[in-house]
Amino acid sequence: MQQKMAKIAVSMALCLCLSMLGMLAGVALTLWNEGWLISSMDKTGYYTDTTQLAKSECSYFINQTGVLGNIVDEFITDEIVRQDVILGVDGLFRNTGAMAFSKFGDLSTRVEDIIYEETGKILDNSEKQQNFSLQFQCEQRYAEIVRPPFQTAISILLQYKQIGLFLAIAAAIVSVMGAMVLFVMSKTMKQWKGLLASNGLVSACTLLVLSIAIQFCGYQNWMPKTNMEYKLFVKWFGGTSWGLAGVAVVLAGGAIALLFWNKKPKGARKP
Amino acid sequence: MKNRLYKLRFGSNGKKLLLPIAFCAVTTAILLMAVQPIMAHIELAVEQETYRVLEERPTIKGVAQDGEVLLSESGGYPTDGEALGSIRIGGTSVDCTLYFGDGSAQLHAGAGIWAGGKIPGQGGTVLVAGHTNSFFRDLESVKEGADITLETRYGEFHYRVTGTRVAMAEDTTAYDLEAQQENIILYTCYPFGQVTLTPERYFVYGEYVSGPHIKEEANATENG
Repeated sequence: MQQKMAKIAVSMALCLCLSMLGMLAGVALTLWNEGWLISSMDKTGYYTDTTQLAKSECSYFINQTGVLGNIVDEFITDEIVRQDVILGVDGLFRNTGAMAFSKFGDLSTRVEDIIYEETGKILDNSEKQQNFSLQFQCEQRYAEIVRPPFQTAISILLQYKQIGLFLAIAAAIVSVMGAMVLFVMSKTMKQWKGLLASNGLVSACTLLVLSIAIQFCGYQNWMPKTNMEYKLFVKWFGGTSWGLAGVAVVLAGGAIALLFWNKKPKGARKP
Repeated sequence: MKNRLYKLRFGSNGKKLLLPIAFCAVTTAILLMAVQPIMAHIELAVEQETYRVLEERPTIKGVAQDGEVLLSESGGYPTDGEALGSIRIGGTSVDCTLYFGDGSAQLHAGAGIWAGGKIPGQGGTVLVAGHTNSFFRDLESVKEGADITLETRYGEFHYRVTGTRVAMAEDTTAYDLEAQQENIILYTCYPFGQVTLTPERYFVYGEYVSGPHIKEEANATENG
């Protein structure tokens, strides 16, 4: 009886550790993965929207200077915006520091040149100062537009990355020890493999339940649907659910493979 | 030979089914309890995310509203824990709810004004804190000359960043709470993004640009 209780306790611990490892793996593949965010931005057309917004707003500032035509294309292109957004994401995930922007360093000079070419007018100091102020506001606004999306939420998640690593190591150690204890408690190899397989299947079920729980936790309503970042957020955060489901499938596959490994060769007779 | 399916379904005391279900339920409950606070924190951060639409038009920043304001006509002096408005810093992603009070509850949900100091419009130093691993993470992007906008229920205030500094938390030379001229100091733990409390702080200093002044009578009510 005591041994049965001990077996149950060890199995419980093994289940918990395997499930935790699986959950951390799922999160590491998605929310903690810079590549997942970049891939989501690619697939949801986030760069296109960001470029359009940046051009639209910077044009507005430039038009205040009285310059006709649109010179914003000289400063903002799809590729430039994409690079700046990815650079910001990279800096956030690696905690390497803030980006420096000097995209519009030549803007006020360019405006002066255009006005002189078109009208022959040379700007006085107050007009130059106003253009410089508009240039500065344009620079600030561009920096806000190309900063990583939902940066605060990502920062909150990334702060748990180190804790997650320690937990994963601890869970892996406990899992190995649990497997060794079950081996000692098992009478046969077949029994041991059966115990491991059943624990693996239970952990896979747990991960599937977690995956469903996340899918139905209502994250789709956390952000207004008209927000430019909405599609990206739903794809990025919703990926966790699929990540967990994927890990559950792999875990279940491994457990089933272990079960089949128990099979006697064809033609063998029971002693 | 016994039927394997029979053994699986009708094992002694039903342990073969009940135990795995119990394990699954307990494990799921433990993991859900562990992640639930984190999800709630993320939900709050996402809800406060800057609202961006493609049709949005920027504001040319000039002189904002001035004049005087009576706090008694705008809801009275703030109470501890009250959501006073919002804070935004140009050129960064800092854009969150501004609370009166800098306790853990307020800093969990946004930025907090130290209740022992001044509030915007009162003159003197407005001291604002925020966590480096959430709402004030992007304080490191702040540049000199950037605009700090505080929108409160009694007025909109603008400050211009004049400098930044890293100092020890107990270094009292990093801030002047006795200053007479209105100014703002934002601070957070340093280095950025740390989970635990650190010995250093990152200070951002701002000079007053525009915003209404709180009338004397409102101050007397608060101090009396």
